[in-house]
Amino acid sequence: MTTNYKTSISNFDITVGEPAVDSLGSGRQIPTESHSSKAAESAITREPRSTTSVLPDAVAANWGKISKARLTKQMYGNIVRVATQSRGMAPAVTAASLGNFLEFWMRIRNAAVEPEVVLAPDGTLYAEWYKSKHQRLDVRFTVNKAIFGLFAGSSILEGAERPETVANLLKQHAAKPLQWAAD
Amino acid sequence: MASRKKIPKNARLPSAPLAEVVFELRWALHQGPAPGSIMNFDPMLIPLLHNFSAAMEEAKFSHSVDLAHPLQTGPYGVVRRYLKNPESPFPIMQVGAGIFATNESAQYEWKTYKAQILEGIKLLVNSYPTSFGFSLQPNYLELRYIDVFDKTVLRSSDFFRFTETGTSLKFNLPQFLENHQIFWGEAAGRFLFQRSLRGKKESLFRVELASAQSSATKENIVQLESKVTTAGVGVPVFRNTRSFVAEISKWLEFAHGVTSPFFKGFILPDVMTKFKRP
Repeated sequence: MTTNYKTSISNFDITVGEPAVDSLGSGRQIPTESHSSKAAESAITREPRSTTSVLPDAVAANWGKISKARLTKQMYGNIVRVATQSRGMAPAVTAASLGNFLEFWMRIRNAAVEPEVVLAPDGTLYAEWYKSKHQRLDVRFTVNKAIFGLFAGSSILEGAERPETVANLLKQHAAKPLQWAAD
Repeated sequence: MASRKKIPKNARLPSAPLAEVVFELRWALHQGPAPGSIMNFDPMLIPLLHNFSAAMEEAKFSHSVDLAHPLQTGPYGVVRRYLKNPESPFPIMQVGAGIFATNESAQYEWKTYKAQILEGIKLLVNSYPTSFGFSLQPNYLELRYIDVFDKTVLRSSDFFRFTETGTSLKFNLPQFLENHQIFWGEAAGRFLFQRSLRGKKESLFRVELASAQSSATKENIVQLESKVTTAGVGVPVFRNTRSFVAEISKWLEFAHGVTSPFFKGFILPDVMTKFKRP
């Protein structure tokens, strides 16, 4: 029998030894303490827990990458805000999409300005670099790929590749799209 | 109120395992319709929301998010969250049926966070309606830290390899459980420690270290939750704002005086160094 324990940072199922979901679950119960001195020595009892932890699942799942990505406070705030947006019963941004974006960001950050991050209806993350209506780069991060569209003047470049391949391609592009920002 | 350091927007996020820190204060609710009922409620909740929201506005927590209708929120459920602005997810103040909480994330710094807690409590107790026959009786305090570790900072998020290489907690597993002819993949695990604290009545220190997996990414992480809680007679009695805030301040130093040295002694310095590496 699987017992779902959850720690307060996220709604991960701490089902020991079994895969779990990273979406909000119901029926959360974790063992918590009873405070009488005798009870503290006895079995830990369960009680309903409060909903005071606010960090989104996807952010928690990618905390190591977030720590290493050297994000600014502003960009971190944007990511958490996007990750908290509601998509009905589904989780906001998926952990996989956010993870791929962070991997991508760590590869390009020395050659890029911070993009606008937006949530797509399917839970994937969009990053956008925009300078003008003829100079725009969108990159969407799915589970395995980065899907990009680059409008640079009269030329259009689109593709879907692994995030590291897209990162290298964009870093080397003559138009320097990763440095585009609205004036 | 102690001034909060203003951190510019382009300041980098500190690189550390701390993902979230939460302070909670709860108070006694009015009993529901029958003994043992789960429908305990706070009859002052709606006027409290009105008063506290005005106070939050003045304190520059001017953006609020309603999580639930106050009449449809169960005991100790959060009704409303307050942010400084919609772009900044932290710090947060929260209030609900018998509960106040305030959170910080990666930018946590103790003195600033403590000041944030005390400011929130002062505004809460000053917002709580009086003279209606139901008074504020705090009955629970909690200071909780959540740290997250994954393969980004450790080679493996296998639970037992993490404890062996990243913490001062050691397990001596039976040989059978390490037999690669019988088992494969990373081992998951959960360690729970709880003990009464000296110095404050009805106070506990609790550590929960557990592995978790995302079904989307198939990646494992290890989460560490460490907290100090005080309940019942250990919680300061509310008589007036000034003395209550002073007592909470002492409690916070007591709680932090447990959680901080615990963390420093529990996570090995090598792990913290890995967080700092680019």
